[in-house]
Amino acid sequence: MILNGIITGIILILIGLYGMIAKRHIFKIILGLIIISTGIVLFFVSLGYVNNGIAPIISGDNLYVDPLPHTLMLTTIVVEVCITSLALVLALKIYEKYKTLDIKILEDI
Amino acid sequence: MKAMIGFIIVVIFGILILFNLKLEFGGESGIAGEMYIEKGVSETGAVNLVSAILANYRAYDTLGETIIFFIAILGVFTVLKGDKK
Amino acid sequence: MDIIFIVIIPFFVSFILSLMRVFRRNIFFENFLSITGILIPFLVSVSTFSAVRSGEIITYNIGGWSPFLGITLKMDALSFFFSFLSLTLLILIMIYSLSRSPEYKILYLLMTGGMQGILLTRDIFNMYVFFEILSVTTYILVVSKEKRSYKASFKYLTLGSIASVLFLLGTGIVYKTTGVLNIDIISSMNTPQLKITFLLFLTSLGIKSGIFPLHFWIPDAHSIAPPPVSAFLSGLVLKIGIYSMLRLFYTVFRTNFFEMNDVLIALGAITVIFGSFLALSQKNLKKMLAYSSINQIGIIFLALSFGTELGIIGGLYMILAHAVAKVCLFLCSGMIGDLNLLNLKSKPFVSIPFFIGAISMIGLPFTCGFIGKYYVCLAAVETSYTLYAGVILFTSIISAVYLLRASYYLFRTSEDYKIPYSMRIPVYITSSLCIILGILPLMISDIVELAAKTLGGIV
Repeated sequence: MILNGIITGIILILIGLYGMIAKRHIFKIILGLIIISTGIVLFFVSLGYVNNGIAPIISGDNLYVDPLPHTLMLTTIVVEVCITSLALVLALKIYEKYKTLDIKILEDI
Repeated sequence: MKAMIGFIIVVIFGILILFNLKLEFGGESGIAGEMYIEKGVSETGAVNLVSAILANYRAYDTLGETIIFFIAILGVFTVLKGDKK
Repeated sequence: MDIIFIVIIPFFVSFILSLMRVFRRNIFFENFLSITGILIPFLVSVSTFSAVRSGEIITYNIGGWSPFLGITLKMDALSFFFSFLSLTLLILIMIYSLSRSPEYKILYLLMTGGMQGILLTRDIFNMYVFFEILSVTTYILVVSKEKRSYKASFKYLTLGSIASVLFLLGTGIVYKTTGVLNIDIISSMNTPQLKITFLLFLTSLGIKSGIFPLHFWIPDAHSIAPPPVSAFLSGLVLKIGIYSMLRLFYTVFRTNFFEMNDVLIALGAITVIFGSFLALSQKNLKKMLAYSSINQIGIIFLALSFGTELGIIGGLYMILAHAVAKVCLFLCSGMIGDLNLLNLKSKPFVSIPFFIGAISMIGLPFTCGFIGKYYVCLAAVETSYTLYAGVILFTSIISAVYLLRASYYLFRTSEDYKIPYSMRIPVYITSSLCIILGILPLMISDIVELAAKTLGGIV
């Protein structure tokens, strides 16, 4: 298996997923979320790559990469920022109320 | 225990996806991508195709994106204000 | 008016409301705006009725671009069914929650817009964006005064974001294999999709609608949220996941879907049994209702996985019945002080609508739920999965036990307490809808049958 952008993106998503499921600390779960979103961005941007293509700014008759996945990722980045900010605010509030960020302790309360 | 479950899920998911998925890296652009490259400049007048798509062809997505941003601001505001909600 | 106004008007009104929030608070104007913000989309949706009924598909290309390049909105029978149902119930829930804060109303309108956006759009990525609008607003709306609500909201957020990442991953693979994002074009191209893509979408939408191994966020989020929020979370937001499944699985992933029929039916059956037994063991009324929606979602999923036209009809009737009855039950629960099952007390104006909602959930004759369960069982027998018809009937008995127990306790009258009429009327309307739709299903049968026909069963 050759390690290219698509595979690396999926591996990043898997690492983030592992972090979200296995880790007990809320902040680490949020970090997992951020890693997942990085992975998805890498995955999509690699999907649009064309061998020897250049950036899709039209100037003459060249080979260009696919512009659509890049555009979609601009939207996704903003969405992920919003979700992360919301998750951080919730974590802040949870700490304020329970004085802990450990999922295992929180579940028992 | 939880780490075990997470590891098993991730391994199964990883095997499923990495060995089933044979996506070509650096192949051709999709049908829509080709069409954007072909018609983009003449239809929108924007040389940068990414901005042509973002602000013209798929402006509806961008509207949604701004709305999510608005919601996040509103959400941070209401959640931080907390008990008064 | 064009169908895009169904999506745009709620957003627009919510912006006006948030601007008003900056200045002085005028409660009358605020309430007026927040109701018109849903009423106008409702009227636009109703105005398409005659066209949709005659089998026409109303198309709107945003910006006038071709469907390959831009985003297409389409209103067909299936979209109309969901859009009409959700807007009707959303108006009622809005009337119920008029006394809440302006932030609540702003978020509520944004959520309405997001929901309608999912129902109308025919573009996979656009569907993702609107799913995010819907889910981000619901993460915020789940937060209430209660301490535990932050925990529930965080859990919901974590799972919801995993779901949307999987959805996005699936979208990427679909784009790479077909080259377009429009659902109609992809399905007309007839390229068989990879099984892994189907599994990604199934997991993602399964989390959003709470199918068996992925249901565990439902009881927390739905029972801790404020009553009107749990009403639309349980009644409508779960159904939006089901809608996307219907839309994608019957078109884009058709072959994969019919290959995996048996597994999906079994999953649905496990969800049904699991939900009903856990609901039986609950001590808290709202938690019991939350588990009972897992049970009902299981029945809906089971019915839609049969893949026959009769199954789809049954599933759509079940969606209708569950949405109306669940909204009614949750709104009733908002008028009860102590939610512990043994301490339930209320007035007749709460307990009678609750009882009607409960019998519709159980599926007794002359209610909406009966028609749904009848069609589902018919579909099960028709496709010779008679065992599953037995499962549904068996769990109906269990749900009769816990729902009638709760309504028995509710009939104990309590001391005086005042509930404003703006809260009573939505409950009366939803409970009478349970009966009216049960006696006169003809009102919607055309649309339901047309929707089932456009999706098409096994060929």
